[in-house]
Order: sequence, then C-alpha cells, then structure tokens
Amino acid sequence: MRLLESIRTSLLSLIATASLAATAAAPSIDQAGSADPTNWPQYHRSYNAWRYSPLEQIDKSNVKHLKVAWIHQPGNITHGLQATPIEIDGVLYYISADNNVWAIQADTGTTLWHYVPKLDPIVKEVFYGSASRGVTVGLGKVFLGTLDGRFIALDQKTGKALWSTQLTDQRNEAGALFSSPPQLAGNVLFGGTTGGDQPTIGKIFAVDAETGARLWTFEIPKDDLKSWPGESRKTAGSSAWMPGTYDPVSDTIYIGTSNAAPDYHPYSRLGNNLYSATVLALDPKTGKIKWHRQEVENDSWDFDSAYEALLLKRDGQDLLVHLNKGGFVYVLEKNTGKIQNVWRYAENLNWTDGIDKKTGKLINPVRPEVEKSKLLCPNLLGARSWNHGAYNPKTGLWYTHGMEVCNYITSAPEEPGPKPINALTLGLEEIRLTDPPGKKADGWFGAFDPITGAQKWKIRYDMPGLCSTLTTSTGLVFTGDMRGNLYAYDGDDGKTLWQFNAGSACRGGPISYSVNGKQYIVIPTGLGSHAPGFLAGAFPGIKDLPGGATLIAFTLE
Amino acid sequence: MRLRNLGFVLLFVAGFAHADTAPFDLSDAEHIKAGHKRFNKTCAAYCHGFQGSGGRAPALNAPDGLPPEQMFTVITEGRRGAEVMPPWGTSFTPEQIWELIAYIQSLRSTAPAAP
Repeated sequence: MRLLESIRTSLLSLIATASLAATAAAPSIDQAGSADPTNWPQYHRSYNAWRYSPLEQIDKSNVKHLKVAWIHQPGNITHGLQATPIEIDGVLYYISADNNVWAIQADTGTTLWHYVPKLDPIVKEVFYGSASRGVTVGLGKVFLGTLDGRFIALDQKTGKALWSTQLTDQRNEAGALFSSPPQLAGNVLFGGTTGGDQPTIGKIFAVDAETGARLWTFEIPKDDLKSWPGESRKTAGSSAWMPGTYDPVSDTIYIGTSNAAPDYHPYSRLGNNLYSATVLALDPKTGKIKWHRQEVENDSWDFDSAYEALLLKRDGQDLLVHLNKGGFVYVLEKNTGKIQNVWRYAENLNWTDGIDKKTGKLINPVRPEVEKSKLLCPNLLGARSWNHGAYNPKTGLWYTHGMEVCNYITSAPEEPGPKPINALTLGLEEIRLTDPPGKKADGWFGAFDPITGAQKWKIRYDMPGLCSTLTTSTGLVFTGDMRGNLYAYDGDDGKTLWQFNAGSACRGGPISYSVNGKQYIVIPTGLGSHAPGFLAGAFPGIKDLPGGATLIAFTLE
Repeated sequence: MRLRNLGFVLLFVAGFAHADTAPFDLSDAEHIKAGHKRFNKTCAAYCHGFQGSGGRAPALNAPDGLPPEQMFTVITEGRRGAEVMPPWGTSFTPEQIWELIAYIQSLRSTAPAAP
C-alpha cells in the first residue's frame, strides 16, 4: 500500500507540475471533487470548495460503528479549534491557539513536529486574538498567516521556519492580522486580513511562496471619491478575512470581501463602497480584477461577502455559487460574474424586499437609523456564520447551516480621531440580539439544490450550529451542533445515522482521508470565535457551554 | 518608537496610580452615561451581552461581581481563558475606565434579584 501511495503521490506531483505549466491539465470543476481521493490537501479539499470526500469505506450501513481512533490535544483552549486540518500522504497538519502548528501522524495522532511562533506582544491587544482557521501545505512547505500580520513558511518535514514576511503594520492598521490560512495559486501565496469592522483599509497580500518576497497588494476599498466620499475610504474596513480559492483551469483567484466600516452607519460613507461585500475574481500574477460582483451596496447591516466560492457545472455551464450573510445565495457565471440566479435561504429577513436578478441591486433596502432602534433580520452574524457548507455531486445537494436570529440596532456615527487597536467601529449606539417576530430564535441544517435553492430537507437545532460540513461519496454528511454533539446524517433525508458527544462544540472543519486503506473522519472540537458570545444575547444557554480544543479522529472498529 | 513605548508605559503606570480610588463619584449620572456609551461602542455589548447580561464573557449585572479596584485591573490588563478579553489599559485613559466601572456598577443596582 505504501508503494501504491508513493506511486500515486509521484503521479499527483507530475500532474501538479504539469498543471502549473499548462493549466488545461488541471481537473475541471466537476472532476476536481473526485481527484486525489485519499487526501485532504487543501482548505476545502478541492479548489471547487465542495468539502466532498470520494472515499467509500464508511457508508450508511456501517457509520453507526464509528469509534474514536485517537485524540490530539494542543493544550491551549483559547477560542477553541477553528481550523480545517490538512492531510497529505499520512501526515495531518493543523493550527491551534496562538498560531501553534502541528504535524501529526494521521493514523495514530502521534506528534511529528510542533512549531511555536515568536509573536509580537501586540497580539495580546488585538480584538481577533488567538485564533486561526488553518494552514496551507504545498511546495514542500507549510504556510500560515499570523496574529502579528506575517506570512510564514515552514519546512513540511521538520517544521522549521524557512522565511517570514511582515505584511501589516498593526499599530497603524487597526490591528490587521491573518485569521485564515493564505492560499496557493501556483507559486503565489495570497491572503487577506481582518478589519471589516475596523477603521482601516482592507488589503489582500501576495508573496512569492518560495522566498516570501512581496509580489502585490490589493487595496480593497476602491480609490474613488464617488464610491467613498470624503475621507471615508481611510476607515473603510472592507477586508478579506476568509481563505480564497484558486481555480487552476482559468488561473483565477476567487475571494470574497467583508462589510464596509463603520458597520451600521452607512451615512458616513454614502457611495456604493466598492469593493466591500463583493466577490472578486483576481489575476494571481498581478492582483488585478478580472471581474467583480458586489452583493451588498453601501452595506448597512454587517453583511460580508467573505464566504466560500462553490464552483459547479450545471447544464454545461460553469457556475459560482456564493452565500452572503444577508440571507441570499448568488449563482454567478464563473468566468464573468454575471448573475444567473439569486435565491433566499434565510427564513426571517426584513432588510430588503429582495435582490434584482438582472442588476443585482437591493430592492427597497431598510437601513438602520440614528437615534431610532430598528429590528433588522438577519442579525450581525448573518443567516449563516463562516462555517462552510459542503456539496455532494452524487446527491446534487448542498448542505449548509443557517440561523434565524434578528437584532435591534440603533445607528450612530463614530467619534472622530484615532481608535484603540482593539476597538471595533460598528457605527452604532446600541445592539441587542433577539428572536424573529413571533418566533423563537433557532438554527437549522438543510439540504438544497445549490442552483435553484429548492429545499430537499431541513432539521432544526435549538441553537445555531457553527461547525463546517463534510460530505462523502457514500451519501453521508458530517457536522456538529452548538452543544458539542457531532452527527453523521443521511444526505438523502437528514436522518441521524451516528452521533457522538464531544463535550465542546465543533467550530472548525471536519475532514476525511485514508491511510493504509483505512478511512478516517477527523473533527476539530472546542467552541471558539466571537460568534457564540454574540449569539448569547438570543440564546442564554450558550453562556454555560464549555470551551475546549480537541482534535478527534474516528474510524470503523 | 521609544517615545511611543514610553507613552504606553506612562499610561500603564498612570492606570495603576488611579486603581485604588475613583476620581469621581461612581454613582454620578453623567459618568455612568459616558461609560454606557463606551461600553456599547467597544464590543462590550457584544461580549458581555446587552446591558451586561453576559455572553461567553461573564455577566456584569450579577451581585457577586468584582469590587471596583479589581475591575480596574481586569479592564486594564485583560484576561485569557477559553475566551479573550483584550487589555484596554493602552486604549483608554484611567478616567475612561472608571466611567466604564461606574456604568457596570449601575447595572448591578438595577439587576433583578436572584431567584
């Protein structure tokens, strides 16, 4: 088996090399989900962001026999485990609190190496402290974006640092840091920072992955006084805090951007505020825009467009499916950004009457007001948090969480002058999370046709789930709830086939891979991020849920 | 750079210099109002809940809260456990921190009695 894996690895290396030389060799978006089946080589496993494993050993008939194979504990539970691990050829790589990076044997959980970064003490002052969503592995290196604003490359075999490049000036850029792993586009390593809710100019950086030398920087707020009147661009927020994806076929980076700042006071930036709340298609070599699709013009509700770009082929057409926090899913033509459809996934929504499917414009938006409390739905976290969905090509369904929570908002201008590094510029006087009118706030997990939005099934949670989703070729769907329960659902009807109490909730990304012919399901657990705290206003029970940080591997007995 | 660092050190020291005593009456309505506004604007309303009712960070309206001097230290230095509270001692003046304490104290006096 080792020999077979070695041969396969060599073949994959050849394929990868060839694809860099001639992008036509890369698998198409409908083939990429099944390529390299035994590994989880990148954040969403494949560049089409399906979070789909082609492995078949664990199926609907035997999933009830899943047992713990091993547990790995990084030792620091601050903000839980938010990562999606990476697994390549029997080695699993992940990141825990304060940018600690681990390489462990994927079949035993034995630590191979542990990297402890020397972080600037300023990291104790920043608002988005301690957490990261993962690492990226490629070119013989493990890459991370750090809490003190650097990209770092480690030797994949030893964990020793190879290079480190400082990219942000945290003291003067509202503490801008990397909370997500930078991604590879060939030899280009790119990623954006936090800052959507802070008085800074959001940026996407690119460096040479071999050397760390800076290649380009894309300032997300457009340098245009019509878009950003007066001085508003200097405090525009508009970052890109989630990982983008790289499509090797079209040689394009897809990355979503955050809301504009100050979040709930749009009156201080009365323009369309490009390129905030936008899906960007970028040329990886130059950082120039190929196309853009702004989803929320002059955002007034904290409705980022930062989430994953799901790539699909339907009726011969290449499509990009993109979920926005505001409760709508945009279906775009992948190579142009032209709208093919917009469908609503939020049940409770009152900030707009809808999206014009021809122009993409908001229909009768309802904006927050100064000195007047208004009920707005969805809430600031959106109708879904950043926990990713998963697409299964066999069922044709997209599985995702959602939440039904509203908030009362009273808008207010920000006071002029410098802001503390740990402060947010929310542009509000008051915020209170609450139930939707006439209902109890809750969460759900559903299966949808990603193009039409047709719902196949939906199950309810008393509190929203914040775990990402994994689906497999055997029709299984893995995720978790807020209380720490992990589930395997039947992808056809949502029936629970397996359940495990992890003690603290999953906030990261479940993955699957195979080592020596044995399939594993690995799920990061440990409640983290600021989202649970925000949600406690509507779900008081969250206050009593324990934190944690435990990576749990499951396999068949 | 050195001057800036010196500034932070002085602010930090100044903070502790004010830690023992509030420079104003903590029940003063104007200071409570100023603290309320700052609380809402600096995430405290997110982390500690609406009117300090608690989130993942502790509720601030409970009768068993910290005495004012200890609150001053926690706000100045921050805390880390499963959650993160960043330090505010380099961001706010001691007077601004005392205004926050005045507001938090006011929440306790209006909190409903424990069952």
